[in-house]
Amino acid sequence: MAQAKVIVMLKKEVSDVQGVTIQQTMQKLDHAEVAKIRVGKYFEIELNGDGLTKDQLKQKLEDICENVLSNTVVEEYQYELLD
Amino acid sequence: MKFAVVVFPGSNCDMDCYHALRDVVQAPVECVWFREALPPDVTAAVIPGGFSYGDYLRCGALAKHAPVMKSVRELAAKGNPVIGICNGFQILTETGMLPGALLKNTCLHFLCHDVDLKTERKDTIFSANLKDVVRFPIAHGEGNYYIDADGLKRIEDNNQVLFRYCSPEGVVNDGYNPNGSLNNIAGVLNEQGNVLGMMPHPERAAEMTLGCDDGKALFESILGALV
Repeated sequence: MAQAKVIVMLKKEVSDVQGVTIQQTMQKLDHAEVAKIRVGKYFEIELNGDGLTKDQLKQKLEDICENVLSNTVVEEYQYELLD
Repeated sequence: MKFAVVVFPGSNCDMDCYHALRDVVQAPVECVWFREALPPDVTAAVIPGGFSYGDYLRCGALAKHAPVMKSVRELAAKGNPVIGICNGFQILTETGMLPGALLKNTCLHFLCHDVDLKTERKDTIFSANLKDVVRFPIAHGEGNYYIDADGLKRIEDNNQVLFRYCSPEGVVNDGYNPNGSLNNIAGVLNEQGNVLGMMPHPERAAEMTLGCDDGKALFESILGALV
């Protein structure tokens, strides 16, 4: 069983209103050192990749990230395939 | 001529749309479950509001992959009318049938109140009978329309914006923008003009029992274009 980790974040140019709100609250909570927060999603995936090469698994993972886990109009993703 | 109202697990405006079509404008209509394909005699499809798949992952992200969407895409490709309302709009942007995406409202609140909308065009299959300014309810947490700068220029140049949030007199400015949408955009068309997505709910303002019947004209416009 192969393991993968995926992080999906809003693109830099897209305003992250959740992040801004959390950061503003941090300021009020005596955490003035928090200058910026961006909120994203983190996925841990187990892949049943019997018979697939690492490249084929990567391709599968990329397809999953591109077409399901992220909306590339507003988000970007990064993934890591663990051995 | 026949309408289909597509029903996903979590849709909750399907019966409102069905009622507006069947009882208010008296159009032939049937509900189609997400596992099915649209029947061959369907000539227009409504993707209703709600919380398809519980809004898991992203609003509309999982509905995009439902079996019924293949035939919705095919119907749209033939030039037939497809309208997505609220969650339906989010689903149509996720599929790429409409440009842009819907982000969280800038205020982070779920907004549930009436809004005034400027009808930008009357020469579409959705808007021929609409007034210059219409009043529909909104009910959403993610209705903040976003598209990158090039995309925004493209849809504005192509006159793809059908509705903008405005004052009761039709003045469009930031003061009447409830959710942070770029250029006060509340509804957009595809390039061909046969697919519409909008966050406000015309089906909730389709008869005077509901306090306003501005929405009736939208369904009548589609009906008029199909007959």
